[in-house]
Amino acid sequence: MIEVKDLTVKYGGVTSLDGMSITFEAGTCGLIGPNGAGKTTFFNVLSGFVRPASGSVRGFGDDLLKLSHYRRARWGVRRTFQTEQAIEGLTVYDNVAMQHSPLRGAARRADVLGAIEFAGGGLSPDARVGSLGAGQRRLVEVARTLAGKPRLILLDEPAAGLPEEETAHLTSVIKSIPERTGALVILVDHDMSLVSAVCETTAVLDFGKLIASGPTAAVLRDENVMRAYIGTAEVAT
Amino acid sequence: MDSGRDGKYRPRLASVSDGDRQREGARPHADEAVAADLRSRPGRNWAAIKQSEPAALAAGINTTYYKLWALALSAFVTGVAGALLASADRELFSIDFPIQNSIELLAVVLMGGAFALTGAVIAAFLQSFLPALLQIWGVPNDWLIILFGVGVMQVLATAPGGIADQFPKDMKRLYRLIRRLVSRPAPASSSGTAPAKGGEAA
Repeated sequence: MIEVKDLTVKYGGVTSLDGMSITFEAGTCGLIGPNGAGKTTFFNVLSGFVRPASGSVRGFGDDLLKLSHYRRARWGVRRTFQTEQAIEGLTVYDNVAMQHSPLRGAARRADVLGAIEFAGGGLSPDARVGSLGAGQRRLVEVARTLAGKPRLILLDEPAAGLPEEETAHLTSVIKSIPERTGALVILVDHDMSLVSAVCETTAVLDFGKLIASGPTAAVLRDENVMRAYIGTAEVAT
Repeated sequence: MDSGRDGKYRPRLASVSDGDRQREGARPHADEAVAADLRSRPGRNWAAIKQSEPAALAAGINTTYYKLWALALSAFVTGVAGALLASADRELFSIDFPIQNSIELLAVVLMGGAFALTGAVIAAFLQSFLPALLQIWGVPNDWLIILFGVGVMQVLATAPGGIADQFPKDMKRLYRLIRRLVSRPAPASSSGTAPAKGGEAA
């Protein structure tokens, strides 16, 4: 469980997150909002790349903000990036094995190979990532988040730019992550069909403020969400 | 997939076979220390840091530690090289190491390829054999400085990986071009051309 209280992030005069308070329970949770709403900033705070101006983030009882970024990864935070960050010069195996893991020796190798197999998509552990297509590279990133003992997995637009077939495969992979790892997954994406398919609950950010949260179907029908995110005509209040 | 004798998967980058160890012997060499680091977890982490520091941090890699390790390792290798040079020359004087040597060394490393081990071999060739070749051909030494200058500019502008990275790519491109040219069908002769659209004889 991730508890966020009064989280505020400022870049100079711009307030990217404005007093955000939310609790993410187990399973897969969606985080949506228009461009510039603060979704990636929120991920950056959770993974330690951005220091908030105020607020607190507790992960399963631990104060995450006290940990440096690489220690957060060792605690169990995993993430993918909006711009895919698979390491081209390494093999698929090494890309996944670079993730810090408490496992050693044969158990670690089995864990890494298991993560690659779980990601599927015809990934071969020996293939050099530089020779893979965009969809497979995304899967390598997802496989990396599964290695070790993940507790919180942050997926930042994993399906961006992927064709329908690859998105369908990614959807089935993401859907099975909580069951396989027991980790809490937070998914940011603009693809509403992906969010609807995998997220039990969804939160919506707009200009750094949380404007709605709850069961995905109800949130996507919320008038404020439709106005802010999908862009319907002004709703009379 | 690579499988060891026990049938377990062994990633290529992270393994040195028993046969390799026996052939090379167990003597602690500087090159072996570097190669071992490159093949195992440090090499993987350095590759990650080189391409994407955020990805490395997100994977739990302590980037400061690995950068310091790289610095210490390169200082160690340089120290070993200095010791070998001193033992070969018997005596060393600072005057033997003008600043131009350092610039020249940097130039050949960039041209050879700073990101690959083969780049170091190419750099050594450029620094040692090229001046000798130019001397044999009677070309003034000043041309070497011009050549290195142009080479560095070319590398920085178009091929940051140096010759080690660019040459195989260019060869592949050339091979594809030749294959395309060879497999291209011969142009049809004028008598055998297909009638233009709607050009059926009346």
